[in-house]
Amino acid sequence: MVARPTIVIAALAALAGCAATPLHPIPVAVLVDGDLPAASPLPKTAVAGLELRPIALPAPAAAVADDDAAIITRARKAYGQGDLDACRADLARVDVTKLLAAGDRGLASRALTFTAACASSALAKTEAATAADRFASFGLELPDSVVSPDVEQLIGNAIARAGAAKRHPLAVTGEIGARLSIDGRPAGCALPCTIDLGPGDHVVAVDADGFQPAVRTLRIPDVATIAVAQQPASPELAARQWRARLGHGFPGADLVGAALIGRFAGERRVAFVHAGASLTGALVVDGKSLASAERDRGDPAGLVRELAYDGKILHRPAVWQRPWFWIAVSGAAVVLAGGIVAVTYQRPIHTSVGF
Amino acid sequence: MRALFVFALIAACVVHHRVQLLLGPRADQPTKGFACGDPMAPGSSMFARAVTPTRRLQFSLAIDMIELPGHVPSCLGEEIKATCENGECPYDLANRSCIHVDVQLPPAANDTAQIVKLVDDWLKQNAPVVFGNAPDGAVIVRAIAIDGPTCDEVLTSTNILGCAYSCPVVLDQIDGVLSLGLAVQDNLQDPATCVAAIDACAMFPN
Repeated sequence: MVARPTIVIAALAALAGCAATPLHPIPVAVLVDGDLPAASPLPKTAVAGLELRPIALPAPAAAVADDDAAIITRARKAYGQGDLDACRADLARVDVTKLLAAGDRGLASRALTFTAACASSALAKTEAATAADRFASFGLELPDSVVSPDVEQLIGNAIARAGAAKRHPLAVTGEIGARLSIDGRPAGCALPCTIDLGPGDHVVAVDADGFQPAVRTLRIPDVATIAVAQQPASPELAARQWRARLGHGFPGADLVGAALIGRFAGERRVAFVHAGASLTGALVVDGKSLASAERDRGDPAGLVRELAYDGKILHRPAVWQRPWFWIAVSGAAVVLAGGIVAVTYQRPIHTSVGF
Repeated sequence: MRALFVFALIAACVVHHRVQLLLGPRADQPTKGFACGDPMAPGSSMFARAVTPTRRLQFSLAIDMIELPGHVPSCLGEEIKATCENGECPYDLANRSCIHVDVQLPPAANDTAQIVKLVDDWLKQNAPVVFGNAPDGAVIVRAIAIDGPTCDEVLTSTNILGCAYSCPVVLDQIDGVLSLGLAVQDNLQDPATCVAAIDACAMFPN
């Protein structure tokens, strides 16, 4: 037979359990970084009132074959064999702007050096001079590859002219805080930013988390200001950027991280769980981090529940609605009653009378 | 089974007291309430009325618990009487404990003190417990020696052989000897006065 106090406590605990649970489960995506303990998975119904939906990061994009390096190698070989037409035809296919935007200044240097060399050998003086001028204005360094002395002279003269020319300011605007690089080198400032550049062609590239990279080519001193617009990043790119930030040691759900999660998760509410020595996590709603929490490794459901409470997705039950409260109250009542009995109890006396 | 366990638990917590009644202020000094001379037979004890031709002393000893529900008086007869006026000190004859005393007197035992000592010894052997569980409140314990085979005899001056009582006590507060006696009066040597005193003792509070 179950004692009446037990029934009362069970009823109150049940009432407490029902009080904070919404009628319909609220969907929350769960993004896990690291490995959860096998004994503590996060099933769909692990947290009362929530419908947990695990999401996976989009797979990293496959590495793009480095065609430009092969083309330049082939052009160099053709140059060495005196096949100048083949050399010039190959190098015409190389997009130096793209190389600089990607920060591959070494490849860009080789492309322009051999462009100048092949054009010079083919007696295309203007083409050779243009390549040398671009080389100089981009501030590239001569490659180790062997070219004719006159080509080295041509490029050297262009570098000398560029070095002597007056520099002009260029104001670059765009997404505030975006990283700026000029001719494949970090400019050392974030947008909005003004830098001094020598005359000639330049490649302006901006990059910001949450946005597609953007590249502009311009000519100094023809352009003094430029606004570089960026398109929002695709979910795949946002996921890549988020993963890269984690790799650099940034928190997964800081201001930028939360915005990236909001872009690639495809869900309004995302619970980010980082499984390290302990479990840390954050609740991201509409790209903003609303709550963060930490728990033992064995309690991912508790972490998500705490995030839901702090993020106001679930109503945190009042103290009296929590089972442990009633357990504590019952325990205290029992201890108090025991104490009172122990203090006030008088043992009954049984007195026999005789002779 | 659970009830048995609870009972055992409670029983284990009970404190047992034993109150030993003593007919007199000391073991070797009998109460004057049991030592009255017989006014009808000068020189003889009241107990001589209960001695058979075969020298067996046979009488009934009634033990009463007179409850004092309200005011608890002192030992003074005046206070006890005042407290128990108007039937305020009830005692239940149905709960009266009755002991049928049957003592073989030796041929030479004529001294009252010696007889009372023999009675006392007999009681110790034959009536170690007269009340299994005493009342919780204050009471006066009274012993009446009645000449007759039962304690239901109508008490008269002729069948009351002796009487003694205790001070008002709460028996649960005692674990030892409780003396029964009679108010000391100088002239208790006088059989008539002594009998009057034991009659008053035995018929109290009626």
